[in-house]
Amino acid sequence: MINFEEELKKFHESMEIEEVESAVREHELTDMTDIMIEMLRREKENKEL
Amino acid sequence: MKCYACGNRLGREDFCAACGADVRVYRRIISTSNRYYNDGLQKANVRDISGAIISLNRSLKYNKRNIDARNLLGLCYFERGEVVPALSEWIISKNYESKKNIADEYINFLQSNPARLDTLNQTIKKYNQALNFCYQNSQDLAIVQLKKVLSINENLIIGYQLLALLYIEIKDYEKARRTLLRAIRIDRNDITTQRYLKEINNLITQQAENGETKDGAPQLLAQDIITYQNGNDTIIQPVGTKEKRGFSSIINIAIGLVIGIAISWYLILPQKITMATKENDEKFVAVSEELAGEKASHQESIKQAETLESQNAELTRQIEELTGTNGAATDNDRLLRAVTTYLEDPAQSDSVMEELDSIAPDYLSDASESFRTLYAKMKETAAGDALKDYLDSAKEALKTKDYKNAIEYYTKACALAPDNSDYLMDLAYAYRESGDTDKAVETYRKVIDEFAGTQNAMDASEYLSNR
Repeated sequence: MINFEEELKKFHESMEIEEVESAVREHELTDMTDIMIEMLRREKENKEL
Repeated sequence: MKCYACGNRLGREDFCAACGADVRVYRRIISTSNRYYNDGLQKANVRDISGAIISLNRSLKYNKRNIDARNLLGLCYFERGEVVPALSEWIISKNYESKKNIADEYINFLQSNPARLDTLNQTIKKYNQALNFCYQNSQDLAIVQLKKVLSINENLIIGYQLLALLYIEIKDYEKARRTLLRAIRIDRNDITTQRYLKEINNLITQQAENGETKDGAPQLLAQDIITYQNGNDTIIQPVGTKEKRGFSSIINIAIGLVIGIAISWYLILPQKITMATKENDEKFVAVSEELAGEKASHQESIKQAETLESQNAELTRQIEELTGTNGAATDNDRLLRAVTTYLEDPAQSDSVMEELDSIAPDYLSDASESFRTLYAKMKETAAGDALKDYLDSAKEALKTKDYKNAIEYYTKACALAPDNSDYLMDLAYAYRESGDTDKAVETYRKVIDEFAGTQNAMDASEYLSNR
């Protein structure tokens, strides 16, 4: 059975066009490639030490 | 595919031919990203937009530079009526690949018509307002507002879902079902839409079995209806009933005539009024859009005027600087002061060098030939004397353990004679004695890097290893 109040909590306000800039800035852009490059860099540093 | 370390194009080998980096894992990551992109594309092709969004987000988690995946993700958001997430994805895509990127066209499509962009923004604001009405328990107002939103932005899935939820709340299940079916036509597999639809189908069946109707129509018993599944839809249909017989045909014809006249009277006239109203509404919308466009163009002109004014002020300031009319010393004055100082007292090489160093390099590169010749001559003449003065002062300061001044003079000496490692070693010594070990280490490292193989480099290495 659908509970109106509970379902309503799942809806959130949409971002307005003026907020595009902040949406882009807050976008999480770390990917697997970044993680791999970071791991390789740390491994290299450990070897040098 | 390009190497992650040096950017060189990769061949079939498991390593980069240019820098030797191992690319096996990298290849696997890129391949996984492409696989998710293909999956997202297939889902988008069959209008499984939600599924496509999940796959494309996964693809971007593996490779954020997968431009096709990012552009398609933006399209999927746009198809669901979500303009801001779509624009965000396209802007990021354009940032990663500025040339030959279709995201450019998508952004231009939205930005080329300010009125359309403004209308979309208005729908977002109205949706948010409708949501607030829901929180304030004003379901009627929320329904009216959402209907307006969906008449303009026909693809706003969350709008359909919220409207359906409101219909469920007021127990108008048939309208809720029709609303969700419109959402299904845009995005087949949205989980929320499917869940609501399933619930509504159950409620309609239950209502029919209990013989309840919203509008007080004759009640249907469970044995009077047939329920069956057609794809995602549950079809509920009453069992066929036979028409009543026994009325005379004359009475039927008379009743038909009366109804016909009534329909002509009551339906044709209102229809004409409706058509006239609709025509006026369309004209009003057209004028409103034109007005919005004019307003945007006016604002654009004001912005341009402001930009031109600020540019004008900046150029005026630059002219004043160049001509010296603002009272500030120009680079010409600095060179003249250096020459005058040297002619009055050649021993004041320090002041001469200060004046020469204060001349901006940018100005020097654009200056006349005679200016540059005089500058070079003065610098050559004063540099030798200044270097000697700096070294004498530095040594004197070291003797009196005034390390702050010693560092200052050795730094100046190093700037004048960058190819002399002895001055760098002395500077490092001064840092060391002053207690600034970090700067001392940095200077020793500079000696090791720039004068490799010299005695000074070996001494510096020795210091660093004994530290």
